[in-house]
Amino acid sequence: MRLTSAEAVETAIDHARTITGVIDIVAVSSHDSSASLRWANNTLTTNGYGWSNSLALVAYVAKEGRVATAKLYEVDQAFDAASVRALVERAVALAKESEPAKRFYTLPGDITFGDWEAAPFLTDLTLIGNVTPSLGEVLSQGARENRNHSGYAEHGRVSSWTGSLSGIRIREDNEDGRVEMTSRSNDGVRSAWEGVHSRTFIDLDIRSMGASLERQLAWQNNRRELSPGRYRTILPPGAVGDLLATFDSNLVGRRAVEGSGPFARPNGVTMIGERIAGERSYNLFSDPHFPGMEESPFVVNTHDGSASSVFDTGQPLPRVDWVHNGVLNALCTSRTVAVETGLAFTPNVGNLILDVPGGYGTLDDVIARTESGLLVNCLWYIRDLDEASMIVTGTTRDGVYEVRDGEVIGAVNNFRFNESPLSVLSRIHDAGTSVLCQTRENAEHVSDYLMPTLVIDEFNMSSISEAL
Amino acid sequence: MANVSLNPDFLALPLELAAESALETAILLGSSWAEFRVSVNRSSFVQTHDTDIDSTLSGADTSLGVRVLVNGVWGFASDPSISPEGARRAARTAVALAKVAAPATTRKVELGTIGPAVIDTWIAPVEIDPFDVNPIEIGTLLLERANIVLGNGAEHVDSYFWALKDTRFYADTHGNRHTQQRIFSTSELSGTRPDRDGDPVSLRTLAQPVARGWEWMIGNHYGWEREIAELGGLLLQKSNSPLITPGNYDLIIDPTQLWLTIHESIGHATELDRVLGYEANYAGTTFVQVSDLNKLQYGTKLLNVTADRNAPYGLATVAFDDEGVPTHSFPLINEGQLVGLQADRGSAHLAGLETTGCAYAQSAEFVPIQRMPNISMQPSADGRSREEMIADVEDGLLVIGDESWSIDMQRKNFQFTGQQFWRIRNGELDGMVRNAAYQSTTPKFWGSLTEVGGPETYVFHGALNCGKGQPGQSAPVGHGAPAARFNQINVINTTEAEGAGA
Repeated sequence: MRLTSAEAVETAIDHARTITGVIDIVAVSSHDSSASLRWANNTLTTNGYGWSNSLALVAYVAKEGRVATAKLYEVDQAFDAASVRALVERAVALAKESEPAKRFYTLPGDITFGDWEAAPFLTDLTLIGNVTPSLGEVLSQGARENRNHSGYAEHGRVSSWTGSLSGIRIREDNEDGRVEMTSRSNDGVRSAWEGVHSRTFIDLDIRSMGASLERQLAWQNNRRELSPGRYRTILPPGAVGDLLATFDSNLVGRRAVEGSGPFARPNGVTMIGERIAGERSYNLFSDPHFPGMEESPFVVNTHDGSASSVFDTGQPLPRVDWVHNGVLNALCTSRTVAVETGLAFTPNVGNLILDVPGGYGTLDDVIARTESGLLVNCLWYIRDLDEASMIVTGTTRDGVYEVRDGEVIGAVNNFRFNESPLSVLSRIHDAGTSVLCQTRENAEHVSDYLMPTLVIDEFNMSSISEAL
Repeated sequence: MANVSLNPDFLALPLELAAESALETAILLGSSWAEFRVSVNRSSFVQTHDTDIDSTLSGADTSLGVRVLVNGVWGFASDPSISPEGARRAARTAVALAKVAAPATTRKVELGTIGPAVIDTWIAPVEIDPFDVNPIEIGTLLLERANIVLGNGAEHVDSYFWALKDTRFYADTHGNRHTQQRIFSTSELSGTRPDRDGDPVSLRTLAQPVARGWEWMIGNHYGWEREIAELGGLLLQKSNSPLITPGNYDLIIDPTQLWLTIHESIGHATELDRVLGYEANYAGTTFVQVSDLNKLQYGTKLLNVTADRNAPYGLATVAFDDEGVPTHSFPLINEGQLVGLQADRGSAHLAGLETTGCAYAQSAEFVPIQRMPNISMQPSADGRSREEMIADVEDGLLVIGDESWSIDMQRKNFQFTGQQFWRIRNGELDGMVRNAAYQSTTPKFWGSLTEVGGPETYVFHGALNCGKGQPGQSAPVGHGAPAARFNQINVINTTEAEGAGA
């Protein structure tokens, strides 16, 4: 008989309790649903609705006076009691064969969060269906006006149940969604992109996205070629988010202590405590309680890594100030790594907020107060070039504009850029108000980023990209 | 040694019953075409850091998917329950979604014709199933190798082994029934040490993912022993090497790096769905047009590129694609001229071409889209060895191993780094240099090809993580490449941004 997600977790815990040598077990059952629409050449092309159950297990067993662990996951058809018990037995058997951990911690008990018994929180076709009438209008208009629309809309919900023998019961529901749209002139010379992040999918305005794309394409009626070089450059929140994703991935304590990455100093010393901002200061933080970006305030880890440990599940997830007043303040660690490196225990939080004190206004406001510079709509294909300096390369995409005396006066060619997000944040000339942004390259991996428009001095456009 | 057989757990699933339920439901609800898929994707991952096993993770993902065509509109749904009930539920949802999508579908989908229906089973040849190997045994082997590198100059070593087993079943209203299984293995070991200024320098093994099993790790299929023995010394040499002086250089590019440039600048550029604008919002378009077929000079006459989905041990090799089409090989570039494009049924029909069997879905949870087959640059039949090619270079660089890559959304402007850049002076290697990247555009780069190495330089491997589509799908793809020479390519110093101009 098929089990509910909560029942699957309880079954796993009950069965683990009966097996000799088991110290604890963490079971995480997730119910994942998503619906999507995709379009190109002014017509819908593909779509999909899917849901899945998954069960991840971490078994903790006594071995040689210490604790050994093993991790298994299954994304499977209807879990029944027999399949859950079999999975538990596999995880325990594997843990008993594993080397004991160098450091281990007892999981906390009596942690409860959320409504354990509530039904899974599923998306349905109604939400995605609400998009199609207005989308149809925008696509038809595109066809009439010799513009070619492509894009993607997705809404998903995930419910998860995390339980342990020690008494953890965490229930969490999340939803997320986005709409992206590209508009290209039929001659392929002009191309624009707009992306909107929406958790609920009830606040979407597809027609206004269409209008924004029209404005961007109109800016491209006037076009000139521009040479590579360093330019004062306006980056909208989404482009800032794509650069900050690289910054985020480098906030790893163990790497820094071991001499790798941009935050390392020689001899096992990190740059924590050093000013990394330029004249214009900034704050970079994560906060599970941040309004509109809330998440469970507890650590749940089903695998180990350079900054995570399965022994940390159930630990409180605090606000973390990665950069405070322009000074590097924290790097991500597990408790094990914290002990080994002397750094503070700093678990990873899912969201990221960049705040530039004194920054204000929308992208349009920032453009209006910029005397001269470039406006880059999107950054694309961003890849590491030099880990010590955090230099990455990438290209601009779907609109690079010339701004003069507070107005967009026309478009210029695309560029390849070679830049360091760390260095970019030390050259902030101006900033807008931080808003929930839709990234481009990292759209599938990054959702809760609150970023401002930034104006960066001397952004390095290293070569011309002929792509249109 | 006997080959790995079909996953018995997979065969125990009610595949045929579920397929009939899905296809019947789809037809009853008005579908003119329906496809049914089941996939079981198993994964095993072991990671080490220095002298410890850092992480082990094993898992499986099972799903079914139904794609229907209702009044010329696609509908797709997946379900985790491999049963008649789950199959009917997915079929009903797919039909409902086709109806939801209809108001914004302005062009009805038409599919090209396909051949007679086939019922068949195909299993990729693998000697030792990596899922029969205990993760602790895997970790122990990785640590043995890590210890050698730690003892030879590396201060820190990270390594991993990752195995995938992909078993899938396909059925459609045409009568096709295909069961296929593939196994992939990949392993990397990376060493790090500081340079004289304390900045970290890394070097990793050159092995790429392969469509083989555990035998690849312990047998003679790859030269692990030699590569592991040499890695620490090469890292030491790299960490003491000078930074590259930017400028134009003649490049000898080893197949361990060239495969990635082929992938990005030829593979993706010749995908028909990109040509037709179907990836415009995400992966991008391409500078190639359908009208370029048999006209566009892609590179010099030395450039010959083939595409296939049936090369032995190819990462994209299967007997049937994910639209049920039998796979085959076809030319992409002959003597520098574009002569082929990669296509699935839908894109081929739109362009008036034949499908090349290039439909692929990451699993039954995803809609199949046009994906890259194995794409390989052919060696010169009477070509020379890499060492002989180097002997002719007066002032250049030898590039070995891939590292970072970036290319624009029309597959023109690109920039690649590598694991090892060796200075060539007067026909001889003259030590390593570092922090180099070569930057060019696709037509200019392939137009600079002046020599192609012989069959002894040819290596066939590829990648498991080729990304495309929304929602994003990852695909394995194989690439063969010889050593090759390119004249006067712009090389930049990655740490001197000012020197990075074209």
